[in-house]
Amino acid sequence: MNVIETKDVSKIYNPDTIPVYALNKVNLNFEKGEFTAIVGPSGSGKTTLLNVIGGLDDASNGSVMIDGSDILKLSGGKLIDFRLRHIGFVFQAYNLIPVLSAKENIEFIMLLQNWPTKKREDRTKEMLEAVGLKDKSGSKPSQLSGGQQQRVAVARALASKPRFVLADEPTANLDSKSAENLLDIMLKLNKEEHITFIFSTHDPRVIKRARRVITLEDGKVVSDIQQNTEQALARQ
Amino acid sequence: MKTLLKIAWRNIWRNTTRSLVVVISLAIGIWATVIILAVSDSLHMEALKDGIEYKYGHIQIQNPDFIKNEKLTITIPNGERILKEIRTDDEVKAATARTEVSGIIASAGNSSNVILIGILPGAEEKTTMLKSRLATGEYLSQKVRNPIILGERLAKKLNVKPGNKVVLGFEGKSGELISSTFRITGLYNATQTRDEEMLVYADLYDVTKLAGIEGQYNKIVIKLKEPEQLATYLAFLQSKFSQPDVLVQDWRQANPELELISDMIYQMDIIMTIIVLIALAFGIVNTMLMSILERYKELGILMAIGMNRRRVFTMIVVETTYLSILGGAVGMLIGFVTVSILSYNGINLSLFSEALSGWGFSDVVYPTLEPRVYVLITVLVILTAVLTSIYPAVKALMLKPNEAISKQN
Ligand SMILES: Nc1ncnc2c1ncn2[C@@H]1O[C@H](COP(=O)(O)OP(=O)(O)O)[C@@H](O)[C@H]1O
Ligand SMILES: [Mg+2]
Repeated sequence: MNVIETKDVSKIYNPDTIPVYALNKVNLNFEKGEFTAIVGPSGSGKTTLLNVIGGLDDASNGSVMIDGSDILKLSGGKLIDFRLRHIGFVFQAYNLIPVLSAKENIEFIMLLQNWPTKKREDRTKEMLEAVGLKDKSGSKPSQLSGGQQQRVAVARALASKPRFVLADEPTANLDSKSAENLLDIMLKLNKEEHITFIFSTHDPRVIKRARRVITLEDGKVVSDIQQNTEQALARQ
Repeated sequence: MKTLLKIAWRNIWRNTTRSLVVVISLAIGIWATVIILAVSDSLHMEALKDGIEYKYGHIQIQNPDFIKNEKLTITIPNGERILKEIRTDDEVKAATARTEVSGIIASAGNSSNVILIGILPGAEEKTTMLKSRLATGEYLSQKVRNPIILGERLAKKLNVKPGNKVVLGFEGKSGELISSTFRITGLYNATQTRDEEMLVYADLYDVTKLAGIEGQYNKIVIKLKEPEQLATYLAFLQSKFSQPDVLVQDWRQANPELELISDMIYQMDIIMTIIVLIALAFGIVNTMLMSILERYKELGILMAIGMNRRRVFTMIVVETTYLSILGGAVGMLIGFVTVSILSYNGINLSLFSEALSGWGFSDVVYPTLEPRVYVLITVLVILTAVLTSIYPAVKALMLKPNEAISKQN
């Protein structure tokens, strides 16, 4: 079953002067449990696509169906609530709330969702362990490395068990070792929790780990391939 | 909500310097307001006390025509009988009678416009504290003919001292000029410069005899045992004696200038408070806008991951509220301590006393402030802070998450 379905989604900037097609009739389906990379050169529309799917930006045309309802038709307040309940976000940087510790950051969305205390604390512990930061639970973001911060962000995005996680260049600011490590954790959680991951990247080593790679150019989907990650890794 | 409060609290300490600046300026604003209000309040009380204790008593009875024309001959019908009856009332501590006429005083070298007040020696001292103001010489001594007491300032102007003679001229019964020699027995000083220059006191019997209106009064002045009984006793007197030509009033009604002082002080208090509040409001708006601008990306991410508008708004208002409560508490505390110290030691305002005493204020004031004024100021300051935080908070709400996140610093 499709979790996300985009139909003829276009995003046009400056339609009246010099129109820029950030997205040009994008038709894509995403299924439950996918681990998908959106790739393409800078300016190809990766961020715009993730923002439109995540309800952070409207499309100029088309529809984005999530479980059969068009999120582009949701009003402001409902959209924020929808994001809170169903979508996990990881951004390139500045993901975490600086005044909260790693543990408090991971808890944050569950708190906004009013999870019962016991359930919330168990889940937080579980996620801290899953991203390998049990001993950093009380550290503030400023006391964590870039890689550790991104791992906390992934843990926070996943903690409340959203339907899917959108990550815009999550490894862009990381050295290759931290990037690999983050990918390992994302893959592990994708398998264990069956959560759909859609992330953008232009890092070849990250691309290799994806099971599906969608390539954008000038806002158009130019290729959409399934790849066997095991084989890809073996070839390395 | 608990998390929001926690985040807001920690947020204000991210930029300690800025938060401290806000807290300190709030504190200083409140402190200044407290001091200003305490001083003006005590000046006010002083002025009123001065009026009641030295001049007007609690209740005055006079002929309403006298208020309009201030003629010696416009007296209270049956004044003597009324005074006698009032003195027997339980509520009354003392009552006295006066005549009042404007005239000219002249010494060998100089002359001046004055108001000649005829008082009942014996009764006046029980009713007002006039006698306690005597600076040199004697009170209206019965040993001399036509005794009179002058203010020190007037004496200086006329170049006279106790023992000297002065000539007083004033209008008599049928418009004729009465002029007579009086002997200065003593000099007094007053808190109000104008009083010291204008008011001269003589024996009522001498004045009425000269004017040919023996046994008549222009004013009856009553001092009560308990000021709290003023309203009820006033009503009683009014129902008993009020007639077209007998007017019974309390000190406030009878002396509009006291009302004027009250109004003036009240307006000054309000203006001062408003100025302080406006200054605070500007400071707060500025600070909160800056703190929001710095956190643009962060707020974008908070909104992206699902913090709704209500929560973002609440967070910013709560941050401001924390700052204003801190500033309010500190300001109140130092304000309270300062007022306590001042009320013990007094503030010497003699530097400004020329200006102030013109309004009936004394040199040293002992400021005090009622607890409810402290509460009122605190509430006003916190209310101002919270209201002014609405603008920055609304600004924060208008940001679009995707634009805020992709914004370059
Ligand atoms: N706010 C905007 N106004 C105008 N053009 C924009 C705006 N945001 C993005 N674009 C354009 O849309 C295109 C796609 O941008 P983006 O989705 O950020 O690409 P990517 O993330 O792949 O680098 C680019 O050509 C970019 O210049
Ligand atoms: Mg991008």
